[in-house]
Amino acid sequence: MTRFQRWALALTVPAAVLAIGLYVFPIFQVLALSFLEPKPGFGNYVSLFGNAAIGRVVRTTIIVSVLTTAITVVLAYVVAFAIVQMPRGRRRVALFLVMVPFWISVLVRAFSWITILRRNGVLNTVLTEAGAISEPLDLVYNQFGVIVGMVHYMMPFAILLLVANLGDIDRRIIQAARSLGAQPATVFWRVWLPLSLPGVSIATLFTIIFSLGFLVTPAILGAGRVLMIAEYLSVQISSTLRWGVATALSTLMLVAVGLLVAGAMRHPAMRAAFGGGRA
Amino acid sequence: MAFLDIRRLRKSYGAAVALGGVDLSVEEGEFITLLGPSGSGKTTLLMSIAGFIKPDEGGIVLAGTDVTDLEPEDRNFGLVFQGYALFPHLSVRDNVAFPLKVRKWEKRAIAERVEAMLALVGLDQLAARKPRELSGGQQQRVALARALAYSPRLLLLDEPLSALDRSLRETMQRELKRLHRETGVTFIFVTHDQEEAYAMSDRIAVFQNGRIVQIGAPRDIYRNPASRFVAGFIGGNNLIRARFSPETGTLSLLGREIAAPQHFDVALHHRDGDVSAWIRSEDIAIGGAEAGFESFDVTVIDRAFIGTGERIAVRTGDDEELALVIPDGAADAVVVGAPLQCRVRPDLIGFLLPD
Repeated sequence: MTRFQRWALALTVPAAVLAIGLYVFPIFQVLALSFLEPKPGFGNYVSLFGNAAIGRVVRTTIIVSVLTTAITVVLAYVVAFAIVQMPRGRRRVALFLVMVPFWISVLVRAFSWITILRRNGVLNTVLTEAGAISEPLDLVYNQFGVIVGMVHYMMPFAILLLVANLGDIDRRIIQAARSLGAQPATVFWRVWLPLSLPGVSIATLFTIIFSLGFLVTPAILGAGRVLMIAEYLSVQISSTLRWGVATALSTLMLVAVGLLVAGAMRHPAMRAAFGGGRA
Repeated sequence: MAFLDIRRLRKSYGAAVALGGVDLSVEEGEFITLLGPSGSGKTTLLMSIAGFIKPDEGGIVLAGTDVTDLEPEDRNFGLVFQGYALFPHLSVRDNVAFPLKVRKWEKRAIAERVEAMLALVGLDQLAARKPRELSGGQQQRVALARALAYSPRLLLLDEPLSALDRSLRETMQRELKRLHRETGVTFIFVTHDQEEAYAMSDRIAVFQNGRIVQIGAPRDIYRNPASRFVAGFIGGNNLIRARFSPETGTLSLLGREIAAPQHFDVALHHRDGDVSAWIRSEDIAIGGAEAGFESFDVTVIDRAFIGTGERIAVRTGDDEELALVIPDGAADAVVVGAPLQCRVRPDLIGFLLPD
């Protein structure tokens, strides 16, 4: 090992200690609790599978996450596609606007959506006064409201991931397609889309993993009617004190996400995304 | 009217003029090269012909039809890029089939044409490969096959050989000439390499600052450069300053005073006595005066072996630097730092119009 490498290694030690002490160790604690609390054995895991309430929570989580991911990736692709076509100056402004939500607390964003979506909120008032509807629509405190809030939260991440990928695509390949006689729709479906698959897959994976763990947004916009895993865990831990069930469910979710990532990494497009954008 | 007519094409980016009123006529089946240093407008002109750059003024007429406002996809031209721009997600076969599929050819016809095109460029064995599994020269051939598959009316080539190494470049030059002969398609080729331009073109258009400053057959441009810029850019020329004395009718150049040769035009070639002249490197020989030659004294400043011979750099009595190319073995007596006598035929000295 050279002097430089020894120094570099030494510099990683504090971060490693923090990560192990505050992250890896608690995870093992969770794992241990799931087998030990309230009494040693697989009881917690067995009870998970027979429990109808937990089944509902898991199903809600999956449905909401999949819908959020699908909507987020499609909308983000449209925005990212528009951004990479812009001239440099406008592109900077657009990216700045995409990042604005990052500065606003997730709590504030959730309550803003309530103001907009509730029965006598901004949207329903406008639609009623315009004569488009006679009765206010139920836009919040249900799955729809939760998905709106989550899509809004995830969009900037997905947009930035896709802009990075779409911006890397060699424009000469697009020009080549046009010079060969491909009309705009053909260029999009046959060239842009296949070349952006690595970006799309990484944005999808990122969004779905994030969505599975959402707590604040579904709690506020769902108002207890759209119960997702994170909120369920929080209730088990802080209110009902069923730590065994909560830790077992956390462990299962961690394993599920791990399997999802491992499975995704087997796909060539995903490997390309991590290997530098080669399709 | 010519096959392709480009009229007074102008394009500016803010204050920067990319094309300053370019006129160009190309005959059907011609191989024409746009030659110039980077930023001289040659690629801007090519991309305007392809339709990717909209000119501010002027028009492009192909076979009697104005194509100036047509989108690139509607022009039916072939375009080969410097980096080849193959579709990385498609196999060689699908790359070549792409323009045929978008033209909604029948499946059988596509398969037949793809096979014929790959045979034409010698890649029939590699049809199933992806572009990244090919060498640079092979990718270049795929790009050519793809751009020629639909029998385009024009093939536009943007420095397609500049990424290849020297030996491969010569092979590809021959390959391009063969494709040009066998397909009969009109080729418009952009390069900054004058040797490449000489080797392949029927005609060369030399670009400087967004204008064509000279157009003609390679031999004509080499023998009669129209300006100081062309004489310097096309290579092999020594540019020298001379003075004309009207009273005696003599030129002082290379540290000598010689009688103005026949082709020196007193009215055209000087401005207040200043004359720009050029001498080709291979027209200067080592040795003393002989009938029909003028000799002059120089100091040797460098010798360089260039394979086919030696390139000698010398300084003349009037402080001009000259390069001369002599056959290998003829330079044995040349010593760096030592004086030397050279000779040149006055009728081979070229004179330029004042800039």
